[in-house]
Amino acid sequence: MENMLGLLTNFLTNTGYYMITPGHMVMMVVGMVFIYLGIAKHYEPLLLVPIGFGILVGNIPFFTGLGLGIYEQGSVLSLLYKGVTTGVYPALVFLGLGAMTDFSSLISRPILMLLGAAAQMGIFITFLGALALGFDLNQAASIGIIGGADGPTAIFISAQLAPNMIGTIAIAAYSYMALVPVIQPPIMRLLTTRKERLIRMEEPRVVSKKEKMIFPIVGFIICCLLAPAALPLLGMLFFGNLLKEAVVTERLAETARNAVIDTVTILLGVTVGASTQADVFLKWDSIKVFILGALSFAVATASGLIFAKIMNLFLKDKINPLLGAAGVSAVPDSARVVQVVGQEEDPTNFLLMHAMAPNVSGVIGSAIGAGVLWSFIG
Amino acid sequence: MEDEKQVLKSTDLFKDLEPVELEKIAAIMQLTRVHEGEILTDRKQPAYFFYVVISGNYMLAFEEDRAFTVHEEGECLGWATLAASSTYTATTVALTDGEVLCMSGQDFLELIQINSAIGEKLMAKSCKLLEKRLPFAKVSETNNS
Repeated sequence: MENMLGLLTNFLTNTGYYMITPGHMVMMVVGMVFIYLGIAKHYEPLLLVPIGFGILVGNIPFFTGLGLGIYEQGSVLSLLYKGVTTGVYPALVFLGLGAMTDFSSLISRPILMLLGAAAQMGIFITFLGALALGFDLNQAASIGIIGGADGPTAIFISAQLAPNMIGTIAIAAYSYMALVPVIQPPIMRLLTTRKERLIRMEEPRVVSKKEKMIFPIVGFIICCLLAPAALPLLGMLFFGNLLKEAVVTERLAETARNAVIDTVTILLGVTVGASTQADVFLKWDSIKVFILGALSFAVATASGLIFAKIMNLFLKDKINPLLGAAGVSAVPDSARVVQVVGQEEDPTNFLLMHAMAPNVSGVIGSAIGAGVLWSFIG
Repeated sequence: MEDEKQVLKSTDLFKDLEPVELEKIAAIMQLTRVHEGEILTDRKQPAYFFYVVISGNYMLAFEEDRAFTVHEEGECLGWATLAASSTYTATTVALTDGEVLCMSGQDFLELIQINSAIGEKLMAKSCKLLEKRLPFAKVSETNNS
């Protein structure tokens, strides 16, 4: 009888119910909120649902030493997580992104590229803010990248510079990307007048197939010579785009933009979510990262808008300054927000395709920004 | 599939697309059966789907009990989805059983991200078509204010 009781006690103390802490429960609620936002609110469901479930996975308590946890050598989760820590997943996401992006809007109006560059101010201002709050150089650079609103870039750079903060930074970056429709519109309305929001854009010129094929090669050379540290990301982005535009490699492009990116998104989401174990994630530093992330995102949005207004001082054909907000990558959500805010003033004004230009240049810009920071600090 | 492409080709919105572009639109459209009484779009609710009518009768209800019916093959419902707007401007109810081609806003966004030319053509066309329809929707807004 005593033996039976001993076994029963042993069994009960080995269960997660016995080991669970308030921290685990808090993180489980966070995971469920992510899943809810993804499914019910359609906020980046392809990212938030895997990350949310990953948070649940990472916060089931267990005995260390069984080889279960993401931070335990040789566990299944730790092997999958290597794709994050080595920067493999972000590079593959960029391959898929390149294979699914048509750069025509950018090629037809290259001046809009400046808006994508201007929005990267958020990265550098947050970098300074993080330094002021006591983070070291490497951590500050990783936190700054959240302002680029580019999850894979944020993960890539934190894997290189601040591997202990990957989970926090990734969760902050993806949270703010999902909240683009909530964060950006008030800033856009605040910094633009009704008259400015009503500006109609000229129809872009038609871009030839030859131009589209040359763009990834020229773009790759120019951007990677400028920031060689961005090579893994930009190399894959432009390579993916070449596969798409070359036509003869359509089969590879199809795989990159569907099978590859979907598989990697699942693995990236679940493992990044699982890396947020309560004991690692629930710290004051995480709260600071979230505050800085929000600030970074707001500054990036404002920088794009203000820069567009400055450009209008010199341009004969004015651009709608709302386009500046799309400079914070988050493709295509921030372009969509531009469309929604523009249509509130004039339902027949279609800004979506115009906003795609700063939007895709924001992806390039944030990767270059990350490369610049890495080469200076790393 | 060919019949569905013919229907798409007959719509004002898609008639100017090249055959290869139409093919891409058809690939993300799904033939869906609709039952009498089914709600396709719900006014002020998030706009996730766009529809092209194949058969059946549908009533679009706006504010202040203003409404009209749609029953022609090739007519479009749920425009807010194409405009990437956040919410529908009308509630659409199926008055009879019927069939529609249905496209999700997410699939549409992905398609125009991959192919800007389609996006630009459809946006320019949508703009013109909406300019014609807008006075109807605007009357109720003006009366409300």
